[in-house]
Amino acid sequence: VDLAFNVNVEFMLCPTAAMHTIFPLVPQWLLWPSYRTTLTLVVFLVGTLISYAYMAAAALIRTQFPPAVMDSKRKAQ
Amino acid sequence: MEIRHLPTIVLRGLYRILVTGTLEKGWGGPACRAALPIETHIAESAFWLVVAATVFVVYNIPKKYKALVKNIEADLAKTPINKSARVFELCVAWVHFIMFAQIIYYKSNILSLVNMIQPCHLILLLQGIALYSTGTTGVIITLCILPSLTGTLLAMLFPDVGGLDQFLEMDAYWLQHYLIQSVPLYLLVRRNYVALKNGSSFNVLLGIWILLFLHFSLYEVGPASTCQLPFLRVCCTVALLTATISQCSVTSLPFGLN
Repeated sequence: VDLAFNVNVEFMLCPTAAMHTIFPLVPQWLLWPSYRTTLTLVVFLVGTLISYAYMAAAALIRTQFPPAVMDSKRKAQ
Repeated sequence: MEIRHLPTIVLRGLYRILVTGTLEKGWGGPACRAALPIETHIAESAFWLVVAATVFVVYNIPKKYKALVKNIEADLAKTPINKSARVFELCVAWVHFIMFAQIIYYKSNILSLVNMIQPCHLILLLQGIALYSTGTTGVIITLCILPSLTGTLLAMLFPDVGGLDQFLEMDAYWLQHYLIQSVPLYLLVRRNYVALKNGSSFNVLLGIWILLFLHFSLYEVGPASTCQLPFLRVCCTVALLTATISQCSVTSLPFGLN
């Protein structure tokens, strides 16, 4: 029964089927001590890039609709 | 029924609604558990939790967080709330809450409520709260949630949708993920770009730090100690430490659950 408690929430227990397909293609030293460390590092990198991508997109919107313009539009209404 | 049996009955009931269906769907189980040795679980988690603790202290996260909250409060005080924008935010917030309730319904139907702690579900709830909030909470959630959109993006690019076979469950999955990916952009630009103005490398680091800590504590302690129920984590952690010290694996559960 103790083993039956094991649930794979957030791939912390075992890799998914898709990961099983990808892992043989990468050097094994990259998956040391396990795939979870590699995924953690990938998430650090991709998470940072995604965060800056969202902020860049919002900054781009701000160049088109600056806050001052929004304020003046509100006053005009 | 004797009163001394009550905790066991309650724990068994909770175990049933939290985990049973998850295992039946194949999201875990003994084969999955055998993928990594318990020693690797312990060593890897210990390493990353030490990294998290070191970053917390060295980078002085509490001090920087307080400064961030102070700045956001000052910016929000200068920014009026647009009525039509507020109506829109409340409507979208309620869409989030209803979708979250819908997922609870789906997961309780198949007795796998443990899956409610998955980041995509939590992000859905948090974004709903961010939209509902007019204070610092909303801005803080907006900023800290950005790195966690990695998982949502991966879930869209490499969807693992096996087992989502209830009425409209697959449609809800895709709608939820599109919503999660698009709403943060609105959260960044609303209220005259308050969130964007306060966005920095600190909030990116904070978001990643939260992800790291949650994965190797909340999500990991359960699997590593063969206990998944949240209320058992403390005792399981103690059991895990004891097992590590005595160099043997944990083979039984507390409260006579095995």
